[in-house]
Amino acid sequence: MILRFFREKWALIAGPLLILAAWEVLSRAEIIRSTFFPPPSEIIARGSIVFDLESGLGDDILATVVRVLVTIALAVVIGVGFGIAITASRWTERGTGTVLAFIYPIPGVLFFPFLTFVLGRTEAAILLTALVTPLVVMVLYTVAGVRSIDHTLLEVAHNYSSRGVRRFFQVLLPGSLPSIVTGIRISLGFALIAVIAIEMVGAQNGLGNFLWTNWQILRVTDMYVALLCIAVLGLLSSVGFDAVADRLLPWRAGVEKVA
Amino acid sequence: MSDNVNDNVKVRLTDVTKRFPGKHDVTALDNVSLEIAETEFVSIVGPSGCGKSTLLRLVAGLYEPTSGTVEISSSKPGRPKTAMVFQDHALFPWLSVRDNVMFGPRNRNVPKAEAAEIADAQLARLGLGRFADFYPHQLSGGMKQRVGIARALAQDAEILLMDEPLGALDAQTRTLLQEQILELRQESQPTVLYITHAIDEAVFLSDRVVLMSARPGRIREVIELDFPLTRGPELRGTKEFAELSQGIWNHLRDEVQAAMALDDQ
Repeated sequence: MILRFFREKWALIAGPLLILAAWEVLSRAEIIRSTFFPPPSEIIARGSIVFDLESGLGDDILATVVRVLVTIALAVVIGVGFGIAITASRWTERGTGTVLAFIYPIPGVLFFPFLTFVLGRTEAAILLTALVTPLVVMVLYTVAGVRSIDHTLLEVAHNYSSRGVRRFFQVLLPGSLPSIVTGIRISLGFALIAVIAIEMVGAQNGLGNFLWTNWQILRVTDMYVALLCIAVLGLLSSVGFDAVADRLLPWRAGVEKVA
Repeated sequence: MSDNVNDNVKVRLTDVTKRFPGKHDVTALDNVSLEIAETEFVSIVGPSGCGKSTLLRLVAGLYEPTSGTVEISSSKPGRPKTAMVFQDHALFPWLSVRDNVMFGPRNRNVPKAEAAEIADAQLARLGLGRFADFYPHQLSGGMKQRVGIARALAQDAEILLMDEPLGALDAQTRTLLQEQILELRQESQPTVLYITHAIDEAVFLSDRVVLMSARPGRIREVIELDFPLTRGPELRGTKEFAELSQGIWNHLRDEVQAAMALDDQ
């Protein structure tokens, strides 16, 4: 199976390897300055500081992961609830639509200064800032999800007197779940970006802070290690989420198997 | 209409008009009056776009009439007024077959165990007892539609509304399900308003067939059938059946042509 994977997908790995090899050679030959672009082999060797308690990198990774998880959890719970609530009427949907479209393109980290006016440089300010973009994404995808529910199913709900909480949990939520899952996938990326960016400017720990501190004292190799950790976190979150996503939609998974 | 029918009227539509405002104002139904007696099976036949589905949705309370009234008499408190069977089964893909059938009773706060019993009984009645834990996508088209019928029966509503329930099925499945619907009728004599394209289906199942005209939808003719309730599949082979079906088609042909002319415009 591994052999077959390499036969079919070798190009996926060959591309990055080629770039890394070129980097390695150029850096060792000092064609590019190894002070700023240390050879990849050194960065990877230096990666062992992840397990070195002295370096504090392990704690920083943990801090970032917790922040991302809290952010995404808040974004999903609030975003889905709010998103479904505003579809209750055309007016609330239109009214909030303009506000959401206005906030969405603003880089979330820009809200940090404003939030610190109110909350100070606290964990709450960090989390709320990180929450902005994922929350908007979750609301937008939830609204799109409700809109995508087959109109006849809503007629069924009406004719079979499904109301309130039961309508929410039995019709609207599962009906919009495929779109919500896509929203979560996208929000995860945004949450990671936002958390790292805020940590760089406004936190005492976390991967962003680690990267920034090492940049300031020009410990370039450690900076690259942090960068590598962030990339791996991003990869793990999307791969991990894909593995869970199918379980959220058992009726979908089945359809795909049959088809 | 005779007096004894009037005495136990289940559904009464009086001068019902339904307009859909928009760029082209569409009058879907124009001044329709109709009474359906208790235990009566009434079919509505007409060309596409004659407002059959609109009529059914008005009775179901999914639409409000522009003018006129729709009344459904209530036989006991808490009994749902209508339960609808939809053309494309409209089962919730995320609910198991049993949960789909329990959907109505649970919404009426019937306790879970009792609702499950009701669901299992209706599923068994339609020969689907073994499939209660399946998801809809695991069933064939005919089975899905039978679940849709079971879901409606579990409501035990004042009137059963069926919107071309067999329209999407192949001919053999359709014939078989017609016979199953007839059996259900003979067992429990529900009041039914049935929409169909198929004339033979209407004649096979109904007490009365209502013919509707092309847009705007009006009632053109009401045909009383006097086949007994105890009719069986062999009815299809009789001379009267063929003559009635042909007669209805003769009435309908002009309307279908008129509807096609409307579509061409």
